[in-house]
Amino acid sequence: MSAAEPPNGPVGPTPGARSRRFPWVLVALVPLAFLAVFFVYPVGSIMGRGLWSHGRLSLGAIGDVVDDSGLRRVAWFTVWQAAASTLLTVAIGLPGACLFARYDFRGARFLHAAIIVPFVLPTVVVGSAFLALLGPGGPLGFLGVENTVWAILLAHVFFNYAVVVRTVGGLWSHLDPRREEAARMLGASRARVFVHVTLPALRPAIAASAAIVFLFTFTSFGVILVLGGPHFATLETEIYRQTALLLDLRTAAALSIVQLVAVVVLLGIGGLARGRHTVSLGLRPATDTAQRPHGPRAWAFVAGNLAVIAGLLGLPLAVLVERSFATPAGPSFGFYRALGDVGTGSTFLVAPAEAIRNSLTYAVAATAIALLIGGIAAVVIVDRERRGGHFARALDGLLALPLGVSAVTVGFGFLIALDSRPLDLRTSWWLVPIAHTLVATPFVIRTMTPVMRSIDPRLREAAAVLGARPQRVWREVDLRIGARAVAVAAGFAFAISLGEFGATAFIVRPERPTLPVVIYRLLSRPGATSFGAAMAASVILMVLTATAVLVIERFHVPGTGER
Amino acid sequence: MTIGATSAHGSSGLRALDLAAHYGHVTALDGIDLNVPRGEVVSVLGPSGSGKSTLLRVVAGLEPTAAGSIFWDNDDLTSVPPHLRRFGLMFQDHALFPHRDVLDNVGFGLRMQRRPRAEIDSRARRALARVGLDGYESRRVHELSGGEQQRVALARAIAPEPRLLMLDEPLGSLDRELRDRLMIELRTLFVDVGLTALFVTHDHDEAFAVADRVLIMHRGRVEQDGPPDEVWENPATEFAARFLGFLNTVTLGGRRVLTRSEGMHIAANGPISGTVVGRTFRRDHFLLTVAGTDGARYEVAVIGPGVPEPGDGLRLAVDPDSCVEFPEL
Repeated sequence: MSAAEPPNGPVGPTPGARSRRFPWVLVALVPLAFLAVFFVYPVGSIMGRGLWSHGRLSLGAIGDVVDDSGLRRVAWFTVWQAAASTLLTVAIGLPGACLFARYDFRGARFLHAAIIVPFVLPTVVVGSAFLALLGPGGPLGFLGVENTVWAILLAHVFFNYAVVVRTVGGLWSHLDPRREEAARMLGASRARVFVHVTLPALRPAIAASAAIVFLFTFTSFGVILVLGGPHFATLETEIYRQTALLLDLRTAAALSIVQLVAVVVLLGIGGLARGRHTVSLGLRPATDTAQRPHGPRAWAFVAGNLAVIAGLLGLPLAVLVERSFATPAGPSFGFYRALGDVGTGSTFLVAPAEAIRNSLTYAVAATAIALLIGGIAAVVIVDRERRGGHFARALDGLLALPLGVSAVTVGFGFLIALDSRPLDLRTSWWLVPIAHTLVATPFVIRTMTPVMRSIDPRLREAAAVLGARPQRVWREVDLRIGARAVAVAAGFAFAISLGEFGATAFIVRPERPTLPVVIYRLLSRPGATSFGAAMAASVILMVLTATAVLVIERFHVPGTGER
Repeated sequence: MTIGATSAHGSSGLRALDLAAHYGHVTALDGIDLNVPRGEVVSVLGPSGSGKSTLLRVVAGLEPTAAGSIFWDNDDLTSVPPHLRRFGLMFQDHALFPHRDVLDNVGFGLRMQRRPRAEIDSRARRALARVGLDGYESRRVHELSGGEQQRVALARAIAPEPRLLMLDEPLGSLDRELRDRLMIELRTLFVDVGLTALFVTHDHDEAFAVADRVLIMHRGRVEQDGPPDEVWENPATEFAARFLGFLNTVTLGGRRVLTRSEGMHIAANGPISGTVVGRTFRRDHFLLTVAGTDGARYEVAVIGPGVPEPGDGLRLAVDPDSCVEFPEL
């Protein structure tokens, strides 16, 4: 084919395939405005409060932080434990992604939904579960990793396994296996096929999920607090200590800035690594690419992955469940009954049914806002990418920023900044879903963009030639094919909202707590009954999340060929 | 189903004047003039990269024109977006909607026209029946074979009754037997329906079998435009001639001329001597590749019995009637 033949898809703007007059810039302003009002402004306020002394800006605090060798050690530990956690999660998650993308076996669908449960469990609960698992007398106590960094890394893999499996697997399941077969026929070994054919195609999804895992582990809070003990501290726990315990806003603000700068730099590097162009991969329906495993090799692969899932994800959850039933008088529903009792006569605790209702309504609202904001952003990003330029990447990066900023800072910022007209939202019910939206939106974007990018541009052209107006083309092609991605994104958003704790703890109205807040309140009360009730509440949250994700993902457009 | 009015034959339809298009710095179309009168079927023939697919995309409105204009009858469509042109385009790889079943794919254009549901249903079914796929309505697109997908794409393109149907390598990816059969069916369909059609191919058989007129394209320009038999017998340019199989350059009466493999034969007293270096069986003849003692290579069609083997020496003669001559040779 000579250079004069049209390249695979339009290189420039295609008149008609998308109207030139459509005000995309205005649409892009919606997510930007949301970010400005609910993230930049509150976080900026709290940082300003720390750095603004005697009517002028003083950057001495940052200097003090950088000079402090103890804080330097904290910063270094934060970076390397996040990098190690990310590498480990990707290494363990890639085979899992392959498992769900390529193999169809009994229970695969349920398992695919179930692996998201760890991701949304409140961090404090996971910390306790890992303590029980790895501590003396625990099932894995013999490993002797209790007070080491391995406990933290394992807990991080436990949390983020689903991010890699679902993000990478979502793309993998649509890759045409014939490309791999072609490479095999050309003499490439399985390993070389993976390195030269599969891996390059998966690169955008791997980079996207690795960036998310890195951000999460970089700002990890509950896990470090519980498992790190006195030995390990990250910037996030340090910010919490300075803000909530030492009331040193100046140092906390400086640390927040250091954290933010680090996140921006690292996200930038990640963005470069992801590469500029995503080619159309000629994706195929997932049902086409998955097959029943046959041959000992395939079954060994499936079994190996199932063992990892059972050991890494199942065991801590099992310990959690076991503890929720392990009343002093033997296995019973005692803690669950106790959970019902704590609602009465206490201003702190509400009946579990009410906490569940609170959590669910917040989650519905947060999912709706996140889909709106993230959906708009994803459309704009993919559209701008097609035309080239840096706007798309900038928008993507900006909206990922809240993941890199301490939830403590965001929550505190809400209280400080959103307290005067016209933004007096301190007592507003909307504050909680809005905070959850900040965290969920990057996930929505990252789930939707890879699928939307890979839609064959000729499908849009075919629709246009058949008489579909530009908006109709979008609805008929992009939205229909992206429907599955929207469902997955919705599941993510819902689950994130159900499990969010850091910011919620600061801003939730005391009489309307969410389930994680109730669990935390129970954990901070002395007594075996409170602890058992916390475990019981955690199990309820776990079941709730898994059910919600399963139900949401069942909504799929008929005929999309998805499972 | 009537598309266009055959009574208006020749006086109306598609007219493109001096079309130009660029991809970056590459000129894909360079001053194309094109007429497709109502009811006529025009094929555009050319090698890969000659700009023929671009021509369809420009006429469809999917690519911007750098210069020139496009008319239907007397309406200037140059800046009309694709969805308002009422043209149909059948894509090379079909571009079927993977998320819809066969009937939904075929009915898509009618849905865009906001036809009543019953009408969409019956017309889509009729289009499916026309391409021989009745009973496939609720099949999934990815379950279909290449030939079936191709038929669905055709049904989808004709169902809304476009005033101009364009086809980009419609039979490109099919096996020969299927192609031969569909070629005849396409021709029948075009004639039955009175379609105005413009289609692009790199395959001679396809272009000459289906079209009322053939256009040869090369490097974004039209090399020749005429009825199939005329173009086949009398290529207007050297490029057209070589592209249409005039592969042998021979000297005849002191002049350099081009001839096809059928234009040469074995003759004991022929003027050209050489050795057979290749022999392939072509259904109704053998094709010999002969290395001439003059240094040239010749392709000669030979009918048995007694076809020479590789290594045999022979002498060749040329049929003067089958030669074409160009000044620059």
